[in-house]
Amino acid sequence: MKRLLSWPCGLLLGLGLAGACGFDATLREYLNTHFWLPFRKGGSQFANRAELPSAGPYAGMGRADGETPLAKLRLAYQHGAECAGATKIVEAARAMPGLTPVDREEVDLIDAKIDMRCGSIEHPESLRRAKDKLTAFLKKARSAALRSEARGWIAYIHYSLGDQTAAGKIYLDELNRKDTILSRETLTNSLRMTYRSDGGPKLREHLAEYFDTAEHAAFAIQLVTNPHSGRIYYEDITHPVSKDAPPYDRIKTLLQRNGKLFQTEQGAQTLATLGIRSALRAGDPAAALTIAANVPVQAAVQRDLDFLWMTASANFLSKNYSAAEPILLRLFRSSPRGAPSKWSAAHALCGVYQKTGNAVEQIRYALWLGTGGNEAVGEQSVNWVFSGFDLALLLDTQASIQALRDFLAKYPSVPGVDLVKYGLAVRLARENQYDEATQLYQSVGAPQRSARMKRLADLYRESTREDLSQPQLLAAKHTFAAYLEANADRTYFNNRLWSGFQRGALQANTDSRLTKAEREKLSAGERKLKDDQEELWRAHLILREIVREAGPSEIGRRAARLAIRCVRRINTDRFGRAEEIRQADIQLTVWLARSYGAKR
Amino acid sequence: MPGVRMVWRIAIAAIICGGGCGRFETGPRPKGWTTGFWFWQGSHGSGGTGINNPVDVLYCQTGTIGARLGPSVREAWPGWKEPWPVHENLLPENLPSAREYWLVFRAEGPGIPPVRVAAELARKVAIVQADARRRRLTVAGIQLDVDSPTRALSDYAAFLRELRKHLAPGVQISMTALLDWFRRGTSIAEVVGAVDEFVPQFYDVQEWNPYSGGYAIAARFDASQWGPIFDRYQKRYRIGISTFGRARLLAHLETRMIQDIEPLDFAVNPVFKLETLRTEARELRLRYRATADAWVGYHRFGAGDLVEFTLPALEAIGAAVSQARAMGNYCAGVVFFRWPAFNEVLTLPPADVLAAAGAAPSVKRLAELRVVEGDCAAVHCVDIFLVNPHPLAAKPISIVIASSSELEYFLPRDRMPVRMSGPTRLQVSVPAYGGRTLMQLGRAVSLGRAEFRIEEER
Repeated sequence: MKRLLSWPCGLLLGLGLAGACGFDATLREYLNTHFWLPFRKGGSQFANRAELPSAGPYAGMGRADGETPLAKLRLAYQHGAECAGATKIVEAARAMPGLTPVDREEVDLIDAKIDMRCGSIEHPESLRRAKDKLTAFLKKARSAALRSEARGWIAYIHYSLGDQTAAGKIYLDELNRKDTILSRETLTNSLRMTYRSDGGPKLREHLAEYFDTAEHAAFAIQLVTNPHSGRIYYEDITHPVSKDAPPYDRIKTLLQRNGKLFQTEQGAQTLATLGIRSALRAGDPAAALTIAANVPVQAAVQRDLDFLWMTASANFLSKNYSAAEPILLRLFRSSPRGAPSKWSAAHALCGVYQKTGNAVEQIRYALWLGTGGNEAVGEQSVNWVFSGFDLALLLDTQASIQALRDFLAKYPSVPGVDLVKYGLAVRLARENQYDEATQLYQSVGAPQRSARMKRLADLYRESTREDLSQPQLLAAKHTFAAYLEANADRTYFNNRLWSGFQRGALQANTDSRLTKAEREKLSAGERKLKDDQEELWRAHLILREIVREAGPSEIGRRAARLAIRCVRRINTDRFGRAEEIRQADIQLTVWLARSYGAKR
Repeated sequence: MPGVRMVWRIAIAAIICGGGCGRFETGPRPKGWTTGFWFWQGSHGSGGTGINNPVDVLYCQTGTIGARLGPSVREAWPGWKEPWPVHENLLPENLPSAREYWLVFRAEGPGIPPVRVAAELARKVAIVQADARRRRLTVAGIQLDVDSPTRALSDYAAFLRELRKHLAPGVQISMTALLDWFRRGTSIAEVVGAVDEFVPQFYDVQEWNPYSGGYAIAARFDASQWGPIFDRYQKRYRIGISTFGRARLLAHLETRMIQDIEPLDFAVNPVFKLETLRTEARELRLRYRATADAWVGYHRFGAGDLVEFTLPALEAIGAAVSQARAMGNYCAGVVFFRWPAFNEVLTLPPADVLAAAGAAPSVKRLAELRVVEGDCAAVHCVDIFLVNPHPLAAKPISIVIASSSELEYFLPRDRMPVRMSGPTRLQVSVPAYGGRTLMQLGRAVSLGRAEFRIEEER
């Protein structure tokens, strides 16, 4: 039976894994609005205290050995005392002589917890009874640990009854109390369960209720403005809508109306950050820039990572690319290693340099991302950029050969520099500059490529000699083309960049995030890349030339046969030019047949 | 509902005095006329666009009785005893608003569910009913959709009587009815006697034959012929009318139903040539013939292959409703099969059906644009949707969309008949029958913000 079950389980597991690890085809994420959204905030970002040492077991969870009524009560609680039968045990414990005040408080708290345990959303009476008991408990109890626990349970009851606001405020306050016994992990998990990613409709509905303290207000605004990806939803069949925008006008009104909460210097800075965040999230970068401009240069918030990111975002979205650059550089340098802000800054800088045409610096940051900078993406970002397509395209087509040379001159020893050298070698080979390519391959430890380049250098020299007779020259060209045909994918294709997944990156034709000029330039670049890197295509072009020049001769027919083999081997699904290749095949085949006729 | 139906002509010829001559319980005459829909698995509440008031009745599929086992399974296990499990689903969240709901249980197994299943079915009905009560939905009763063999009607009646014993008081029983049941000498009277209403279905009355040339869904019917037959039971009934369509492939080596395609797929493909016909019940029949090899989605078509769409037509629905209204004193209304799925083309929009049935005013609706912000950081990009109220219009529709500022470029969605005809103009050419209620035309890209409007519609 086990064996019978094991294969479908294995299949399901395999399918699950395959689904979970879908192929990543992200490219130029900086062209998406959602890339520039403020960082995601969750409970852990609102904890200003360090983790405290454990304060011992919760009420009822201490030692339960012995025959005392308190021990029996603990034992019953630990074994999930039945609701109906628990009253007697509680009363017996309460009536026990010699109880210390802390013991009495523990009994009271267990009593309330038993009620809580017996309740549910379907049976809320018991939950409400527990909440009353806990509230009464807090009025008289002295034990800081038990009081903290009671507050936590009150929050839990609010959560169970669907009162997100009351629950959230307690968890949030507890997160920064010095006398709490609730761990950071417990509280941040509770906040996550209460609010999910953005608090949902309940938080939007009760937003005003959070403006009782600056901390609550900041928490609510940050959560409600958490980023979303730009998916389309349908209200009904004829009403598609894009991502759910936060209630921007209401947030602005609430911030203005409750200015007194933010009257301290730090408060003012918080207010500015919240204003910028809300504006950005609502798609109003101009308003974000206006607020940022009013923050004094010496204000501490100017060094805040969120502030830097958001002002850079506002500048990029307002097409002030040059203004975004220094801010992003500051963010990149001041972000600690492994921080998502560092990764975001690096990728954003790639976008800025793409727009300002600074290919050298673009390579610098793309290379940083491609050689380990991606490690921190995740929790705070809605982005997913692991494909490495940006760097690959940059090195393989977008950046000029001169830009690659300039980069190597400026950054000769940065991590990953060998990838640039290798890329330059491939690019030079495509330009028939085999000697320099040979040296570069040697310098990065690619002996096979190096040897191939050396051989190609000789063959190419031979095929371009001016002192040879025409038959000798045609034979040399044929040898050169035959070598290319025999080394398809090993000569002009950059095998270090693409890992076999290049097709997904060549999408400029359908990329709607580009300007017309960018799209045309990138599309042309992609076409050139396909042509340049396809050895069979290049061999076929050389061989066609031989056929034309040689006519119906032995060398002409040899060239035609090889050219036919070349075009038939080209994967047009990947390479394109399907009709052109089909025609070439037909023409060569017909020519070959006729050439034999001519011979006869 | 869809499934094995008996042959229409045989049924007509065989009916002389209506089915069965036994005694049966009668019911009160219906007080008013209702227009309802079946809300089937896959139906989506969003199809109700354009309907301002709740529909009268909604028969919502909420469960199944028995399992659909293939003949090979039964053949392989001759001693196999049908387990007849009862599965229930709560009423879906996206349910259209209705004055009255019925919980439909479809029998999937062969033959009649055994009497022992009745108690379990009643228990499942109670579960769905409790949920409906919580949601303040008015549930009138249960409807059984059992394609009983005519010879087994007596067993069906026994099952219904047993079910009645287990249902809570006040829960009515309705049943769908095949036309063949009403021919002479059947036990239909016994069955009708056990229910509160029955719904004869005037569609899918032909046995499905892949090679028959005259395949149709709707059946044309005459009130003077059927009214007296149904009325003689003195029990409330409603007439089931189809509003859905189907597609089938007529290829050189195979003929079969195909799904996941729509006329648009062929209308915009120059390889296919269109021919239009009408069925006896005035349904529309579109035939697209391939003139060369072609792929459409995952389907490969060879030259000469034919794709045939049989589509409901509003005038046919109007005619059917008129006949239903002339049926007799006990006819309480019509029920349309079915409420469409999300953005479904082959099933008529309920707003149009209600208008054709005279249950709602006919409102002339024009095409509209929906513009949804894209996600572009360095350019302004929007997705443009066309809301086309007449997706199966017989004439081509030409629409010019104007942009308030120059477009950098426009990227049409796959197969969408749209192109840039100028720096600020998009030309949409919807071919005849080639629309969709909601057409995502493509993405418009401009350097600055652009507003879009329909400038011309012909």
